[in-house]
Amino acid sequence: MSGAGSGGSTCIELSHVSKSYGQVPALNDMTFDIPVGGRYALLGPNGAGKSTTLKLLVGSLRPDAGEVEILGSRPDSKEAKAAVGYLPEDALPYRMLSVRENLEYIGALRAVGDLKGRVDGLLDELDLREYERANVGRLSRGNTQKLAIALSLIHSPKVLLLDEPLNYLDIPTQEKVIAMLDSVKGTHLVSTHIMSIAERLTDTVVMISKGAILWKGTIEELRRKGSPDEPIEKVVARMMTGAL
Amino acid sequence: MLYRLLKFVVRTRFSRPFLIFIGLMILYSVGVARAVPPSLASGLIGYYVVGIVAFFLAMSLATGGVMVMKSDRDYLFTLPLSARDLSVAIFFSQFIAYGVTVLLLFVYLSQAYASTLLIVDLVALSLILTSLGALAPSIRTRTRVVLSLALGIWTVLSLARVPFTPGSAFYGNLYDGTVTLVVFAALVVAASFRSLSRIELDMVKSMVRSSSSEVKSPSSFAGRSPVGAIYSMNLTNISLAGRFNLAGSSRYVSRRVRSWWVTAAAAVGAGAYAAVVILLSGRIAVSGTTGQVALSPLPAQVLLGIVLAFLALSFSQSVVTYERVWLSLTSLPPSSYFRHLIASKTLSLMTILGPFVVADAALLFLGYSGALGAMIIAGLVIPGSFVVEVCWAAYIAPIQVKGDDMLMPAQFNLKQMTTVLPMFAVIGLVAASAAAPLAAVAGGLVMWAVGLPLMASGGFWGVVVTRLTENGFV
Repeated sequence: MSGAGSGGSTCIELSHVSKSYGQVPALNDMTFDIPVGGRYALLGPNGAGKSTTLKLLVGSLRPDAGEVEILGSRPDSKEAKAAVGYLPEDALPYRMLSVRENLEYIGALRAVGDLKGRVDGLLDELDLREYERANVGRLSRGNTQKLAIALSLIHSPKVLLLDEPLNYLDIPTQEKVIAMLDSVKGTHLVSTHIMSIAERLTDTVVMISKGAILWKGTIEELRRKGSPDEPIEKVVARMMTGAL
Repeated sequence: MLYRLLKFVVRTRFSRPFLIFIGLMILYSVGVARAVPPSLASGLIGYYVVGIVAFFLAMSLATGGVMVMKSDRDYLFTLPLSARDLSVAIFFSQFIAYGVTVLLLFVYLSQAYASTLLIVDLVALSLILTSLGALAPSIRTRTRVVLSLALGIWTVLSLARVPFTPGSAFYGNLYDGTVTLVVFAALVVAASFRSLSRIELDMVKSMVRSSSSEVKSPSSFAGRSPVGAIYSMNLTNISLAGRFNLAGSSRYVSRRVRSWWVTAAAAVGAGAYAAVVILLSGRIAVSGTTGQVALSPLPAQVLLGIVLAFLALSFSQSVVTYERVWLSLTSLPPSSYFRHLIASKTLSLMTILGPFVVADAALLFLGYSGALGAMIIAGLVIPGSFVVEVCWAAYIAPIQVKGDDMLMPAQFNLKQMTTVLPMFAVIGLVAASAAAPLAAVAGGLVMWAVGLPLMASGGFWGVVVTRLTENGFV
């Protein structure tokens, strides 16, 4: 396992974390940390434990063993909740509320100052203005995803945990969201199984498989593991199947 | 082919434990019915039966749904199956969902109505309930509400000795009532088969019109505190959302209505209820009668208590099933969020129950002592049971409603169906409240004594969040 550069204090820390769903193990003695300001991808095949890791980091799940900390606090603490913005895979906003109501409701729960201004800004940035009164249950999947991204950013979080953030988005919107996320300061952990997304949104990879860490390092280090002309996806595939 | 399709449709809609449970319940009902002496059985029926028939008919039409899942739309409907076989298979699953309910209930009647016509009546009624449930989604919401009310009123007219109503067979007009039920059943069964044969088209039509694309009177939460936003969300609007569970079938409906509108509707209902109680008490002579008819207001009070308990149950189911764990519970500590969510939902429920409490208080003031029990039920027992039901429903991890109203989310297992258990305690207290108001008070206090500590417990809600997440809540 290669070490990634980690300047500054630690933002996200998992120490010997294990988690099972009944008899099915999801994470097995997982340990890694991410420094403040780090842009990390959690890369792995389907069922590797990526979403479980994020759910542990937001406090929706508790580890069976080990410790999880966000900026030195437990994930279910008020401090951690205030710091974290979370986008789950296939995120569902409140379907009986409008787009604006969703943003205002969650903004109010998070005690966001100048909420109207913040909501207006996000509506414009994500091209959701024309849908602000629309019932969320009637939105297309792409617009629902844009709203979900806005909801995860409403309180200008210091730590962003994103699970497949570009799902359902068309290419122009993907570019817009990538630029938007790029401009958000703070620590980012992006869960994905698509290497190109990891490359666009992050600079460091934590590769996991079957609930354990396979490798950790920068994308450049990962690229150097293959031959000069070899697509990085092939390198990742060989690593995940144990061929490298 | 039809047999295999029937087996597939039933197995994909109902869990095996549930089917075993239904089978045991039928055996139990038959056993109890045979053990009850005819004299006792006939004392239990009368206008109770008419009220229950009216309630089931109106509810089947108002809240019915077709037991079709998303996977049916994606896979089953694309297979080269005969439309007739598909209709029969879905109708059969509708029968298990809607029709069996009435057989369970009315098996008791077999002792009181010693007539073979009763079997005809029950089968016809069961087919009507099945068909109305299947027809419901193809009828526009407003039309459905009007038709449901009309159906309920038509049935209740049997109490006035009108011969041709769906309730007449159970209230003194056996032959005319049976003819009515058979003709009615033939009509709605034919209509429901026609509807089921084009179910795919109807589903799409229904989804298109199921809700408006824009929220008509949006709320604003800007400037509110976190707790203020929760109360504002739940007190300004009432989400008429719930899992309607008739014999294990699950249909989610969601409508957002302004609170004042619901309170006004409840006030009208409470006024009608008070009028019925006064009329049934014989204190006011009805035109054309002497006022000496041997009627009692008790059935109206009992029926109202049961209806309100059902209403509270459907509300309690929706509190958690519509929640978004990734939003609310990552914004506030779960115990804090749920405490205020349940408190606001309870207050919201009380705005519906309030007019009935006022009506009972007025009746009590006018000297109708029986209203005391009903007032305790609406004011104390049902809100208390609501809190317990929400906590229990959250703990046993219900299924999250994620998609279209029309689609059945999944099978419910037996554990998930235990959410209805607190309601049976309420029904027991409803029955006891008239004779023993103190028992109702004690029962209500027990409900609150159980519910409040759960509502306030940080540890309990921490466990709930984990369980919800592990059960796939987003």
